[in-house]
Amino acid sequence: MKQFLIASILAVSASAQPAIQAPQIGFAGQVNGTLRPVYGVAGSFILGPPVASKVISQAFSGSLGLLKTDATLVAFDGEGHVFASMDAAAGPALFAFSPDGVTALAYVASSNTLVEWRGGKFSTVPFTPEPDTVAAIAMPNAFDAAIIIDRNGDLWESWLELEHASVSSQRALAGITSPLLAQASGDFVYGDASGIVVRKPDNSEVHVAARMPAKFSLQQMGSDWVQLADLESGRRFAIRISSGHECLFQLPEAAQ
Amino acid sequence: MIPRALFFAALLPLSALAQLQVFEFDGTNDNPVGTVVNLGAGETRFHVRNTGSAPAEIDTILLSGYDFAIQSEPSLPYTLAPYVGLASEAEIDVDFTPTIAASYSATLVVNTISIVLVSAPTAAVTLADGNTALNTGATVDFGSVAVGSTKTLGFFLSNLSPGNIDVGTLAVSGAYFAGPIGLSAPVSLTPGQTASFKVSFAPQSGTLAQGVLTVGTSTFKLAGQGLSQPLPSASIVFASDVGASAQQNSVSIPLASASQVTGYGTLTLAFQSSVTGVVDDPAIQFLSGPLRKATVSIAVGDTSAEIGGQPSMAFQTGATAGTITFTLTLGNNAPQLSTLVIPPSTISLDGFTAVRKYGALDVALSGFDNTYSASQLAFTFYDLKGLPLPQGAINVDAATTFQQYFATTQVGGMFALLATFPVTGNVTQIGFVAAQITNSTGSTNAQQIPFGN
Repeated sequence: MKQFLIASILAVSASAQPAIQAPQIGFAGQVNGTLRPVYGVAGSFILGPPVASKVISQAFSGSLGLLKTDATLVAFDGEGHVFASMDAAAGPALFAFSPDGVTALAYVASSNTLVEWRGGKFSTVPFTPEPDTVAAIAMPNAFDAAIIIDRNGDLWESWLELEHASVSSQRALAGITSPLLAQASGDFVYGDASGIVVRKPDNSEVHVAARMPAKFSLQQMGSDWVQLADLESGRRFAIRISSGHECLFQLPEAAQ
Repeated sequence: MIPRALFFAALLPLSALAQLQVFEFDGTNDNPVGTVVNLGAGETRFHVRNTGSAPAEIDTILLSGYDFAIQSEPSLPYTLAPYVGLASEAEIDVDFTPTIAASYSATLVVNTISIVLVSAPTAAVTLADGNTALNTGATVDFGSVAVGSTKTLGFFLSNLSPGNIDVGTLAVSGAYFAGPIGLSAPVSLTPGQTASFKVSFAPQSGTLAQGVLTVGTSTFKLAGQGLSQPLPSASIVFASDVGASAQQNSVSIPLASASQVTGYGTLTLAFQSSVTGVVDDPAIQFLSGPLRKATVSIAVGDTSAEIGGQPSMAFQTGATAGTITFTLTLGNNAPQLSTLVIPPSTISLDGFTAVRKYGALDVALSGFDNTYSASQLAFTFYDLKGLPLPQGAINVDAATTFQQYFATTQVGGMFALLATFPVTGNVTQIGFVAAQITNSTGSTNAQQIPFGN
């Protein structure tokens, strides 16, 4: 009787014609400093035309992007259009996005400054991390930040309440090495001797076999993708981190 | 009258004799010679000039001396007009080819003019693996040398004379020859002293090469044959022979044996679509360097070629059915082809998400259709217990929409699809969705996934 009642009041109507477009994975920084959209599916990638140049650091949540040039911090949308920008100290930045991908944080190492993107504008968070120690940042929810601190090779996670700019807790991250990328989901992405490691919040790990470059950086390039940049050869790789589909691909180089 | 005539007849030869003068000609200028001329190996040109006002006759030209020879001379008797320029002179060319390292002398006589020709002692040149001094003008043969390889010969320079010898010139000329290695001019050799040096031959083409080794005033010919050895046979090998779309693969070029020579070439990638109306797929490309053309290089000793400076080259197979052809062009060898066939396949789904909205459900699919023939979609919705809603599957004919998309897209057969379904009732009571998508080769089912908010 109950089943019948649900059926009688719950119905899904036919869809209008579906919208079809090129699948976009995210944005990838190139060795020449340009930022290009990446289209495709796992194993088949195409770079779009550049949307920015002189980019030092970049990240994209799937709907919101942040990039850092030498003197500017920029927020942009999925088509590369600029939302807003602000002056920033020179050098690279670390980025983090909230789980819904619309709120974000940027950490500029040279000025030891934490900047928040919320409600369509930038604002500086009145919090000063331990200088020269921030290895990564994450935004586990829209109101908290996780600051990953490197203390003499040991990584610690400090939980920061953004509203009060105060650290509420901290914990050691045993076995994780820098460089790393901290995700809003609580995942950590880093490398070890045999490849890429994706450590889940329950401390389970997924290993993706890879020959790791001697020097590399990790940037979020899409909702389920991380860009690995080989800082010596200039090659770029895409790590898929969606659960059950973890794998590593090489990204094409821009057409020459 | 008669005595007077006899007197003049007796005087006439004396007069003619006094009119002749001998010069050494350096190719440009005449230089007067004395009774002794120092000369080196090779040809020396002498000019005889009539400095008088009446014609003079040359009736005697004699040369005596070992290893000296007259190369050319006027036919005797030769009447020489008074000098008015180079054209009025007679030329006598003397060749001196010393067969041993020693002092030489000879005498050149023109009528009654006698000139002593002398040559200073020269250093003996001996091949390091030989015992006999080389004659001036001798040929040193380096034999056949593979292109890209180098052959080096050693030489000894010896003073076999009782006095010191100063070698002012020690030089090697000629394409692919290099040296002297290990010794440079000037070289002073005391009696009995020996110095060594080397000359190398490194041909860059399969041709006969010639050069010259100059030691003091002596020259020696250098010869060598460049040998264009063939590159070892090469093959095109894929890391995986499985032909499928959306694969990252790599290609390498092993050689049948270690290469004896250097070689260069190209590896190109071309794509022939098997989908009607589809010409190309830009996702089919090398992942480093130029998208579809890579340089190939082989060094001596290599057992596999480098592609774009790497042991192998990664490429991706895109999302269109067809044939990927790799063409290897190496040196003068005939182009070699290898193909990877990408067969038509059912649609491959790479992403599948479902989100509840107010009064509606969004279902998103991403993947590729390498036949460009996607048509029917079927969505089945489930309640929170995983039971299908009684209405059954919702079918959507998206053939036209897909055709319009594939006609304009720049990403091959890849697509992202978003279908929105209005819902009557409480949308939160719908827990799962499954999808089926069909193309010309069959249907693909996306397993049941839960809705997110």
